[in-house]
Amino acid sequence: METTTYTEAEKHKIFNEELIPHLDSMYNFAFRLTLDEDDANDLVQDTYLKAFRFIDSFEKGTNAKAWLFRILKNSFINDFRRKSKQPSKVDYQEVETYYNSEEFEPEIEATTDLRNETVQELIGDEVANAINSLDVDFRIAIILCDIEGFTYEEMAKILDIPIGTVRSRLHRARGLLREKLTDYAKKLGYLQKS
Amino acid sequence: MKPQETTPKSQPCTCCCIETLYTILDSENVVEITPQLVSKIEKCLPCYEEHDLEKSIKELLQSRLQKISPPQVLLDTIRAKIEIINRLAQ
Repeated sequence: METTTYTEAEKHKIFNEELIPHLDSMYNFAFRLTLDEDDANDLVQDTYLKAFRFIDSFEKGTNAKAWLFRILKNSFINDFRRKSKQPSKVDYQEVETYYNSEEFEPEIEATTDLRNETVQELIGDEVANAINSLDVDFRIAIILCDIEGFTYEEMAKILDIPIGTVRSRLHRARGLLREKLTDYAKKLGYLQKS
Repeated sequence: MKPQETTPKSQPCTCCCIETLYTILDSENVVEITPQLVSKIEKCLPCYEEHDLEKSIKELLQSRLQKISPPQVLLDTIRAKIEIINRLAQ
């Protein structure tokens, strides 16, 4: 990895002008991962301290948000989740292999039941519960693409996976989210229970 | 985008794959979005419904998911810790 040696003044300028403006997005991403405000606080702090420490590996003027998201995601996966209250780490590859296998078939009925008009009925809490109940790897895919608006290429860099895997993970994530939303819609009576 | 023919809802669509629809939905240039492809989707009800539903869910996530403001103390703490790191490094 190429690095640049910045002066102290340059480091602070980059930190204040390019990294700090993403604090809100970083905090929301951290909260969606940890599902706890204190844990989100710790994770964001940890990420910014790492970013400052390794600021020489950031190329001024490039995509600071994607760079920060990558650090935060890695901190969460490698360090944070290990010591937090989260359940033990699910084997990443195992989950991917299962959801990509022929063995896994999303409930077709559930996916075809949901309609555009039903989606409009759902409120924020139900949407939040649905997304929070997804496995973290699928949750991350939805957040990065649909909420933060990263491109597939940026997601591939943040997640350290090929673009093809980004697309298939997103596909699975959206199918699972739709299932969850369908369940909520049924429970709330927006959809008929089968 | 309006569907021009009615295919029964339960009938699975085989004219284009879901990932192509995602590509259009996410404004990605992974596959070439030709006028023929757009026209194909416009004429196919399952594809049209699929695209429309995914678009609604994407909009729902953007509009209804509450954005949380970080506490002011967070930024102050980060700055204070960096200050300490700098002092220790000198």
